[in-house]
Amino acid sequence: MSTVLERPGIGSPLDRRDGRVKVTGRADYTADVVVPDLKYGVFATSPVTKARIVELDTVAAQRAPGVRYVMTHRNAPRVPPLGPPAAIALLPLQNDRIRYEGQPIALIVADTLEDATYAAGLVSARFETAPARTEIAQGLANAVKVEEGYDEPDTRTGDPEAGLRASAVLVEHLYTIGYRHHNPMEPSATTAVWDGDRLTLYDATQYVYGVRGVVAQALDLPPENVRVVSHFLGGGFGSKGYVWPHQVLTALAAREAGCPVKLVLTRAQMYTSCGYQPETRHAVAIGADRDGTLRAITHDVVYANSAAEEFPEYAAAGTRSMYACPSIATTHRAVKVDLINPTAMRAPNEGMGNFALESALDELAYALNVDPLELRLRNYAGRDPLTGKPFSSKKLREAYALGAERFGWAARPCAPRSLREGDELIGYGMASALMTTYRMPSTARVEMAPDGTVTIATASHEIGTGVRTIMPQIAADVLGVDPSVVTIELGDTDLPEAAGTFGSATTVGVGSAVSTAATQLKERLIALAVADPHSPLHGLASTDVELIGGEVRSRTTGRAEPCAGVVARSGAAVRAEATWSPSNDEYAMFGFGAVFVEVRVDAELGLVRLRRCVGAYSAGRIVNPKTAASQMTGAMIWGIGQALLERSETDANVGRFVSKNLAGYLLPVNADVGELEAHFVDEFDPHASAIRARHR
Amino acid sequence: MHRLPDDRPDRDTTLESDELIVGIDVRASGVTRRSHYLKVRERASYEFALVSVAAGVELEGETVRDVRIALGGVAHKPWRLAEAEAALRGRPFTRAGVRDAVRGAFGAARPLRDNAFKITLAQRAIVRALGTLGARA
Repeated sequence: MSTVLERPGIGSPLDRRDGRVKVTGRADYTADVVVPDLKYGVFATSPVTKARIVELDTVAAQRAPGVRYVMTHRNAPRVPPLGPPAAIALLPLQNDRIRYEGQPIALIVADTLEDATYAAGLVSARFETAPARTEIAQGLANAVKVEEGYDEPDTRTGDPEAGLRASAVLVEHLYTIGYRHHNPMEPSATTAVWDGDRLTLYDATQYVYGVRGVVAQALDLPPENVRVVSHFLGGGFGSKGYVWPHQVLTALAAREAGCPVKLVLTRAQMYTSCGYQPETRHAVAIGADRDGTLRAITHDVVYANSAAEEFPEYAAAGTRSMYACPSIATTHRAVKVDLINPTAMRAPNEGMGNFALESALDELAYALNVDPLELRLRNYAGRDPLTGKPFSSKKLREAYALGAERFGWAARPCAPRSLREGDELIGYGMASALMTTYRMPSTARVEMAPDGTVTIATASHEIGTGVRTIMPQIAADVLGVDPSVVTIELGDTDLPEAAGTFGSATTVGVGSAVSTAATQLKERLIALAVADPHSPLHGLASTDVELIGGEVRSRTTGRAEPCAGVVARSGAAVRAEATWSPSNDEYAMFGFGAVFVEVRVDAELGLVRLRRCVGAYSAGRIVNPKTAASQMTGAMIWGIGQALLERSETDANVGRFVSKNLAGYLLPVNADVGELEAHFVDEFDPHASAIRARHR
Repeated sequence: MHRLPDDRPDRDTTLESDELIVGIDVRASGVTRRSHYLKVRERASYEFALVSVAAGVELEGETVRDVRIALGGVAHKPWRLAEAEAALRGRPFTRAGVRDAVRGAFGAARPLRDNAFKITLAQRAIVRALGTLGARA
């Protein structure tokens, strides 16, 4: 028990540190930021797709009450094509071309939000339009290969065609997933404040250093002249990961107008300003022997991509590595559509393709009359089928067992349509989950003050996942202090550079940097203690000294003193800064899971409702079981949306998304959710990170 | 009060700009004593109906004395199925009878490109709603 008390760091289900400030409205979300002399920016946007502006009348807007400045393509400063991590290279308001509905045609700056909104409504324009395409069905014959990207569009092992021909059982299906939008509760928001040639951006972003780089390049400023601050995010789900036009345009408008400008995208503008998940079509073929052994899998994806830009989506990525199979081929082709560029969205790549692969595998289980779980176990991959590399760690077998046990899988009625309650059929199903482990370098500084308190500094972000809670746990574990004495400063380019908060990579990357810096700080504290004649540890070998219970302590003699004393006598805070970069690329790294559901199906009325969902995951070491489980149940709710509700319809006649609001875009509400359970198998991944974690 | 679009699709009702609904009287009758409202929607809450059914029935033994059926989500205005109601009066209250009566009422229904499913869904929803009111299987 005393050991537990002395090491309350990693593994403790601590409550969120910032829960209270968030629910009491005291957290400073970006749109809440107020600075002296603040003016308000509002976009007037194009109602048409693929067009040229023939006439643009801003006279009435310019004369409207409170209006300070109106930016259009006629007077906007010219900006070079944006570089990465900008989501699109071509900034609006640079010429008369309209590439998508919702593209800004004017930016109004006025004294109040109401004045700016009113004036934006006074902007009138005439367009010369061209036929537009918004759905991949309109361009299947012209699908192209997107070579630019971070993965291969096509992969191939073995001989898939021969494998399919030789298979005793063949399952072939086409699966489609519609356009989907991120819909974070917090809209994107930017406040730009200039001081001479120095710019501060308060920005709702998942990547403060990314915004700094793009804005500095666009405005021809040295990066160090741009400070980006993002203290809290009300969700992002990928929509705030890359840099979008509104961030650059707000900075430009503030410079031209000569006053600080705040711009908050409206809910409707969130559907046309910061990406979406592209519509995808998945042609999946699986060939197997009678006993269920897989012989070949092909998974061919067609996805939507902006006509003017490129964003690769590797929707079949999961199929490359999920099951042991001698022949696997995947392809990705893009159909160009007249919408703003798509982007990464909860969850990109495997998040789409696994739906197709697992659905097809279910069909195979039915065709073979094999238990769907048994079929997956028979094809369990011991090595990555694509690269042949060993997995850094994989406990999916344990996850299958844990999930099945908690769900009661073995005891379920198996025959389809055999269980009915009133007008509803009750069904059970399961699927495997897999997600690539993304690992990105990050830097963190950890320091202990003379009073023994510890501060972590790193430009990571709090997006709702619990970074303010888990990073102190990681540092506390190394330093042998209680997590309550550790705080973190984040979301500011004045702090050491961290990777963007996306790809479920923050615990791995930033957590490893915090752990590495804390380890160096520990070594410094021990070195100070044993060298200090005033310390009871003076003269001991540093290998004999550990940090535990807030003390520097000798393992052999039991001599000890509070860490605070060591720091205080050194005359100043003691600090260490470290960068963690990924290594061990000889291993294949993925997060794995097994998800079991019970659904109610009203076949007559076409209604499907989730009754309960149990997920068991193999994700490496879990730093905080409470925040981690919260993320997984959140992911299940996104899964309900993906499978049953979400789809952004486009209207081919007018070339735009139809329902740009939360009434028409169906996210699950509480009544849709049912009972959710998330479990993690005990796991330490020795290769993926410095803290034995592999995900989150 | 509810009107068809004609050349003013922006107007849902015959109310003029200086008129206001100040009260609605629902008179008690046989059909209001045994009534049901069924809202069919993909999301379990907070969504407009794909199809909704308001129905009431008055029985005499197992025979339909009177019945009211109205649909939401299928037209510009709430859609009363007077023809189906007439076909059901005086007949045994069975799901098969309801199904037949309703099918006839949909003979003139013309779907648009993306909502043809509503013709089937609406008929099934009516059968379900009247089943809830006791129509025998």
